[in-house]
Amino acid sequence: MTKMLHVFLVLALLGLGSGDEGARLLASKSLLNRYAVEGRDLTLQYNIYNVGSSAALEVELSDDSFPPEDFGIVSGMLNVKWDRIAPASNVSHTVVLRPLKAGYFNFTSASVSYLAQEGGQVVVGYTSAPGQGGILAQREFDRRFSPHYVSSIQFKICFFTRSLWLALTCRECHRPTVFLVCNSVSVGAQQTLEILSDCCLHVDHGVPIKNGSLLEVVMSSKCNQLVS
Amino acid sequence: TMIRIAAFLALLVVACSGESCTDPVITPSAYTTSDAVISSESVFIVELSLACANGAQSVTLYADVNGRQFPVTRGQDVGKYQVSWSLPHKQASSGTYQVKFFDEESYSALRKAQRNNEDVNAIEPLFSVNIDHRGAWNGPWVSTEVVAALIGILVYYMAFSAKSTIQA
Repeated sequence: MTKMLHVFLVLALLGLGSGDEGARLLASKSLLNRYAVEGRDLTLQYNIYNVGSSAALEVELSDDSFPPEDFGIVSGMLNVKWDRIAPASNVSHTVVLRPLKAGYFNFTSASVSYLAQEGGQVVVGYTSAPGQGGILAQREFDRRFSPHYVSSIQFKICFFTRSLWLALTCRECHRPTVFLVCNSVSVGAQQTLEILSDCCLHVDHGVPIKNGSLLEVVMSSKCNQLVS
Repeated sequence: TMIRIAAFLALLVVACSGESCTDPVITPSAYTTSDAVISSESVFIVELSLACANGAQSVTLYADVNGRQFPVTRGQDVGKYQVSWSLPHKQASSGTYQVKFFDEESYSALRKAQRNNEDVNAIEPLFSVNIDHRGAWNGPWVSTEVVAALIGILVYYMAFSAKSTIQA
């Protein structure tokens, strides 16, 4: 009976020592952004899964791939550790950075080190790498994707008061009118918006809009021509 | 001998697990996503500096947010901790989120209460932090294209009516 027990003990020790190799970590690094924009928050998420048979100990994650002259840290730490990650479980870690420069950047992997078992050797591995990505210049992003709410409100107020005012004064036939310019929806919605805010500014000061194809429209949009 | 082995094992478990912290003093700071236009998920980050009256430096902490538990990450610097999680924008409603922090002892009590379907609120956390999420901005309610089109129609109408009044 005691002999049997001894055999079991030896087998169990062997299993620990070589068979299952203890903990095994898989780690990913990913961006939680639709667009990476200069001066705006860039969110990085690290996920670590333990697919091994025992807990990983003294797990350390460190990411040195962000030069401080290119990225500022908004929140979170780039060098962190967990005491243990249980088998068949995962941990996640998030850091928010702010790109300081526009242009291409190669998002490389972070490193992960851990003990696969108590008293074992330190295992060093790497996370996946998100790869090369473009960081948009702030101005470019604002122009393309994010019309400012404030300026859009400003624009609406400006536009409506102006068109009302013009509707009233247009009868006196003194000023170039904004109607035809604003009416040219064919140039595309986004551009229309710019033209509209432009015409608010320019017509207000009596300066014609210098936009190629629209110039003639403005020039010809004197009230008498509108009438004819 | 069995008792001795058990006692030894118990001692080993205590020695392996993190230190316990008495009279914790915390300095928390929090971040939540505010721009849903460029980010694909809302993230929540709580960073804190922890000082314990007994001088404990490597405390193992767990966090609980609305019944979800996370292991707390330790920073490289002594006394720095971080917990972070993410949610889809729609699920990350604005408001105050209470983050409860547990040490190993109270965390196992919490898990036990969860397993037995007992009241988890009865378990006192070591400390807790409230963070304010204002909600992530999703861009204007009405897209600029719609606004521009509507204004275009309005302008056309006004021009048309102005023209007919002048002609009349």
